Amino acid sequence: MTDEEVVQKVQGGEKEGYVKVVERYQKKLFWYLQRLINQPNEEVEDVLQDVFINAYTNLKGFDTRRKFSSWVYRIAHNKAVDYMKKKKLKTTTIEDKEEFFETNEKLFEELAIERERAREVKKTIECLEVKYREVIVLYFYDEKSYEDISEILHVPTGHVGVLLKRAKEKLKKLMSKNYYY
Amino acid sequence: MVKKLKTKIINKIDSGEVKMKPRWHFWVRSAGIKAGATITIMTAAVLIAWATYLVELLKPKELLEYGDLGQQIILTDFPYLAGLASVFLALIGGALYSRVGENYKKTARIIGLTIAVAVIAVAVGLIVVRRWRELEIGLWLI
Repeated sequence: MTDEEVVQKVQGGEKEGYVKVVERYQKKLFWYLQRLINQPNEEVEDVLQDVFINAYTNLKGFDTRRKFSSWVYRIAHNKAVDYMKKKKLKTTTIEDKEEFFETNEKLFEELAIERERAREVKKTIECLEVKYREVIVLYFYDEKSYEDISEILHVPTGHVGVLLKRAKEKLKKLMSKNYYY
Repeated sequence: MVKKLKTKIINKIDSGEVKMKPRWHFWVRSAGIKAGATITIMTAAVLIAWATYLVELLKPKELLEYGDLGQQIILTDFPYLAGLASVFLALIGGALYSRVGENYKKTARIIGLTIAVAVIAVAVGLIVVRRWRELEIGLWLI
């Protein structure tokens, strides 16, 4: 059953169906938020809970002809931005999490970086501005298409490519300078 | 973590602490945004048409024959406020229009151009209608 079909049932009154939605998205959204806000797990869980509650409250406003994943990621994006504004976060470096920006072959390939420098890449991504960090996370780690990223970030599809290009350039530049040290 | 979060959310839903907003809420919101965009764009156009009418009343051609004094009168009596209000409303209209449906996918340039064309087209329409009616009344008087 597709996400949209499950959501349609929940919209129709089958509240229990929402468990499926939470099960399908909690891990993906947890890591998305973690990469974005880079805070301790408990904080990320609170934001994630807000995301699911907000999604449930507004579920009847979701048009099932559209993609549910983009819609729920958009809510997560908004909640993450709100959280960062509230906490006045820009970029942070908290305790090391090895799995945080795990090896990403596609990213290494595009940036022509050796796998051994994974740790540097991770730290450099943390130093990027949120708008660039987010587009890198969505494209390389969540493997979203330009169309999906456009719907999540509410930017024109053509602009996604521009953002991604700039993000990669900034990442390369920062890596060459070892900016994070 | 995973189980705890799921349980927390489901408990909140079951206890009625978290409820889905009704469909009409979203319908009203969407209709409100569309109506707001239309009203602001139309008002901006009406203001431009009105400003044009005020400028016509000044009879600038005749005033310019009086040299510096005429220019001074035009500059003093020019309907700046209507122009500014029109631009301000067009900006609000643009902001609202960008929130309609999937308009967020359009670039700021396209949205700006759409609003400008809409405002100018409606304003020109209003001016044409006014002039045509003036002509009609004039002919009727003759």
